Amino acid sequence: MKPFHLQAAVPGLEPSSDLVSRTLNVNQESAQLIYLSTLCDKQYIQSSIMQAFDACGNLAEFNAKLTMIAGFERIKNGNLQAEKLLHGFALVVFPDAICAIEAKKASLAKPSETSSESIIQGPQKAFSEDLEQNVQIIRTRYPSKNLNVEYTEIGTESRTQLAILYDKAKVDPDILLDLDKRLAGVEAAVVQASNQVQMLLTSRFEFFPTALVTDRPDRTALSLSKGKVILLLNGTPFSINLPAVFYDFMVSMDDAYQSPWLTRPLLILRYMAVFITTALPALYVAAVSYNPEFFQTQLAIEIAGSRAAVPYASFYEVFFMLFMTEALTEASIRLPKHIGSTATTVGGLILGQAAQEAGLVSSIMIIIASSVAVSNFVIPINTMSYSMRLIKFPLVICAMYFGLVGVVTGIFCFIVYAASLRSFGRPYLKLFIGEAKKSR
Amino acid sequence: MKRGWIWKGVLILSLLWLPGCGFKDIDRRFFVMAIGIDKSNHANKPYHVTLKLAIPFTKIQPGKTNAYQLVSDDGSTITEAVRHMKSKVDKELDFSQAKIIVIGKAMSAEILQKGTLDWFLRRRDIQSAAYMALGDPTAEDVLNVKTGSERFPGDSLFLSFDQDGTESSFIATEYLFDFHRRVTEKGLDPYMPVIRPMDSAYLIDRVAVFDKKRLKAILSPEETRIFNALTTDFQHFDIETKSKTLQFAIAVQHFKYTYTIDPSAPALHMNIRIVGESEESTETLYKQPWSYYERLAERQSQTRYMHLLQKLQALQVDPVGFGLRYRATRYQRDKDWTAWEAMYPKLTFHAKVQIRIKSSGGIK
Amino acid sequence: MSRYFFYLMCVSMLIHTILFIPRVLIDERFDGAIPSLFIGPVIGCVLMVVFTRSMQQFKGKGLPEIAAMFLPKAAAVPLMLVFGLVTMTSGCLIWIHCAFIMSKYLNPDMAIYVLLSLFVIVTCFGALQSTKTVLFSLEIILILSVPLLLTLLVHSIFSENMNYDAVKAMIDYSWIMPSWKSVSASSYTFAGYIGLAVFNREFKDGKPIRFLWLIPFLGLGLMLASFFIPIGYLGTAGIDDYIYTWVSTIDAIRMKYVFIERVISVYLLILLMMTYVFTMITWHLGSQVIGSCFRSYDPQTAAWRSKLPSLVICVVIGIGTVLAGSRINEIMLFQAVSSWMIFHLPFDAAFVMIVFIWSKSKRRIQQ
Repeated sequence: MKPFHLQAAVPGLEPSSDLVSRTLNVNQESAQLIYLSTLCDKQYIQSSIMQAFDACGNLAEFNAKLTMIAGFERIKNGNLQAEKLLHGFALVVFPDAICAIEAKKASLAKPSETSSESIIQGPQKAFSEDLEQNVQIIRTRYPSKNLNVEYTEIGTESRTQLAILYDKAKVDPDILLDLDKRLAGVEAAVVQASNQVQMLLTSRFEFFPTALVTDRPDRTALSLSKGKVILLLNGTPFSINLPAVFYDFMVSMDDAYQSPWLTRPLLILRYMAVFITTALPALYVAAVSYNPEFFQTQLAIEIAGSRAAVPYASFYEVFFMLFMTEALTEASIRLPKHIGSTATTVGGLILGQAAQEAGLVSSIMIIIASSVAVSNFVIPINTMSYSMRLIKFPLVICAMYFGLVGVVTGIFCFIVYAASLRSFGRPYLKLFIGEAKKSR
Repeated sequence: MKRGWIWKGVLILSLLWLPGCGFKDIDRRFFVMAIGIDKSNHANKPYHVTLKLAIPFTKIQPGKTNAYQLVSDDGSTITEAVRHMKSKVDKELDFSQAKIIVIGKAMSAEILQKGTLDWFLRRRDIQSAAYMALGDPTAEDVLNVKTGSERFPGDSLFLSFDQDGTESSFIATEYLFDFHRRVTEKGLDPYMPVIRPMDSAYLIDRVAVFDKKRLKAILSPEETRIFNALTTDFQHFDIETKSKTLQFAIAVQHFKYTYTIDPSAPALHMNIRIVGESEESTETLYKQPWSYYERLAERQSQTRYMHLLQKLQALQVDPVGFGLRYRATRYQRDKDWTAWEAMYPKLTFHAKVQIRIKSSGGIK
Repeated sequence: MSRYFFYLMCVSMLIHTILFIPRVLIDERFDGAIPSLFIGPVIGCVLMVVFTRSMQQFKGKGLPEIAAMFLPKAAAVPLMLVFGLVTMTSGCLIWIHCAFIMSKYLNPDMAIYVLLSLFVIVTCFGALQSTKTVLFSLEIILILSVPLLLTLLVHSIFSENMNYDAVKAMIDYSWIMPSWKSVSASSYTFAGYIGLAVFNREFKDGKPIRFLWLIPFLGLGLMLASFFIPIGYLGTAGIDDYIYTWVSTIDAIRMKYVFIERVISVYLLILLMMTYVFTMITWHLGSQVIGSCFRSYDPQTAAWRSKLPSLVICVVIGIGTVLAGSRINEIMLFQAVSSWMIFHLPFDAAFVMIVFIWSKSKRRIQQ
């Protein structure tokens, strides 16, 4: 009986302290059980592999018994052993064959409350961080026989599992082809977040997101029914929906659950909010510094009065206030929840008040800065509201140099830019009149 | 990586090139609320221009925030006067909120001249929808009034004229573009309301009528009301009727008039239809059938309309636009106009007033 | 795709009725402008129908491809050059006109070449996008700005300051032989069909354009409005004193309960937006058609190399626009516009005829 050689059985495996390797001896023959204790469920190994071994008289019988266990795979030649080990399989190495039995610990991840996209009435649970569970959630929400699940890996180092889901009957094969091409082109080493995948699949420098990342299973199921492709990344509670057009980012899931009398005006409100959050600071600079006839007389006198205490030009004022609100938003995201509210109180209330009283900014500017911030939060999808936060700065710069003409020029540029984008071959911004919803 | 730096450099450089041309903050501008043009005493500098500049306030309060600065200067042209005025103030003059133009009574003939009126239209920042008015005795006196209820300087005048605040039948409204249209149009003559300052208020109850060359007359308040109804379709006036035994007033709710010109006679037939409710009466209105009061009111207002129409005819002015209507309804091009010019002095007016009282108000 | 054809027609109608046509027609209002308001649409629409029908014979093909089918390269290249230059020049004229208005009313202290440079750079950026992108952005911008324009139009029609007697007085002048210039100018309202020369590439379904009969009425209505509303506001004689009649008319409109009291600034901004779209279209047309003469040109790819000829053309024309705009004054501009008006109708007619003959001969070949 020759001694077992770990390196020979599992090529490429470096010794690690959570690597368990035990020799199972019967009738002078021996098999080797190898698994990673941190990934595998010991109880399960005990009850399945060990029990089977216990009941057998020789290795051939044990080998046959193993095939009965769920999650059994026979590893043919090739170097998949280390791979399997790392994915939570237990390996039983026979002298002439290697068997892999799935013995992964049950995931501890539980679906949490939706946090980035909450709605009042409707499904409240988000995805979990476990891929299998997420696929299970989608399967339950979208029990269609056409639902196709494919697994692949992304990231040269992390080799994160990625599930590609689509409704075979509805999906556009061009999109799948395009997606395959782009996935093959991904060269990132470590991939850990859905937003990152979205970035890697689309162009990094796009101003607008062209794939939608959501933590809502119901939105994902709806996207599937519209013929979109869903990507699920192991370890993140988000799904990536593609293709996605501009309008998709403006729709909240509430819109599907409530009466149109309520949701249509809300939709209009959101578009107005987009206009305010992007254009209002620029319009303020343009109107105050170039075209005061834009204001009504009373307003003009009031603005001139409140600006009289401010020694700086209007755009300094705007940049200062926008900087403050952006910093506040940033701070309240990063801070622990309990301190977060303190930051907003100190920053928003006290600082705003003091800045206005000290004559650093005019009172109108405070109103503008806060309405810009509030309008930004109205946009349902987070990635889009980030984009909108960004867009207002170029517009302010345009307004600084050219006044109202500059603002309109900036808006024109962004419209043309958005219209020139394509999300996996689909036009990003146009009217979809008379086109079936699935084609979006 | 290198390209990224170039982009960043360009961005920073472009930010350093701070705004130059045209950039002027709102607090570095002086808002001109009203423009006044008077005749000066110098022969070679005939224009005495007065500007009412608003002093900005953070919080508008009626009667407290209407502080203003009045600057005036003489010049051989308006432009010259305004240019010289700029050296008297510390901020840039901004005419974009100038909503009223007051002409001194002495300047009334000059404003009809092309050069003077054009100054207002040539400037891009004076709005064409600014109000025109005649200041009696001078424009400067009108601009120098500060009323107790104003929220900002000039506010009272704006509110009076745009019929947004008070809706008075004595106030005729005239816009700059309309004045220009009337000055140039054949068969439509210009007019202007007359503002008279009264120690801290205005009295606007008269209207000045012009022909194409000069001020012809200032109508009395009573005539002004009829004038208003005819020129601007003003709806909210009232009709007082007086007889020996009783006196009552009708508040008009609906007013409409049509007219036809009969060139053969020559005559102008005017039908005026008025619907209203009685507002004030010395006797109970249920004593007699309403038709009795209606007839009484009709007879009296008929004479008033006739009086005004004949007066305008005697003055040889046509602010209602009878001539334009004549041109519009005949198809002889320039011949229409010569025919009308010959016809107007000989025209006889037939005004027929129909009044219907709809209710007697809250009581009998 | 027929709605995109409507957008093309609409944007050209709006731009022409706002910017050019009032100027030319109102100058001739006593000398036969009114009959030309009715003759122009007839001519314009005949050309439009002939052109669209002929282009539909060539499904999904642009003018350069069609010309290559019928003409040798030596003949096709100059034709494309002339066509491209003419379309781009109309864009340039409109830019210079618009820049004059903007520098007069919105940015009075800014040098005209600064403004024009901004406009031209942005237009180049727009014109270099793919044909589809141009159509999509055209759609979005029209949807955003037309409602505002319509509100203004309706408000001005029903305002009490609109003097209908002045309008009626103008009817006296409706039986006068119109001049060539005014007929040509009013037919120019319908010049949007020229856009099909390139945009036909995207109209691949070959379905006849629905509601084509609506266009003459739409154009006539717009022209009547753009001719008579300024007269109603500014007077039959007084209108002579104004340079930019529509801008002055809008300035005279007071909308009491609108957030912004002087609607003129809003109107000017919409005008600017429309001008951007219109020039983007004309320059896209021109640069695509001229660019097709070069070998590296390929409309199917977005590669840098295939766009290079178009880029060079746009930049050259752009520099030309800026130079011209900073040299000439308003009088010269209006002279240029009126000679342009005289010139364009025979050109358009000849061009439509050529395409019509091609479409006939194509049918003959197929039979």
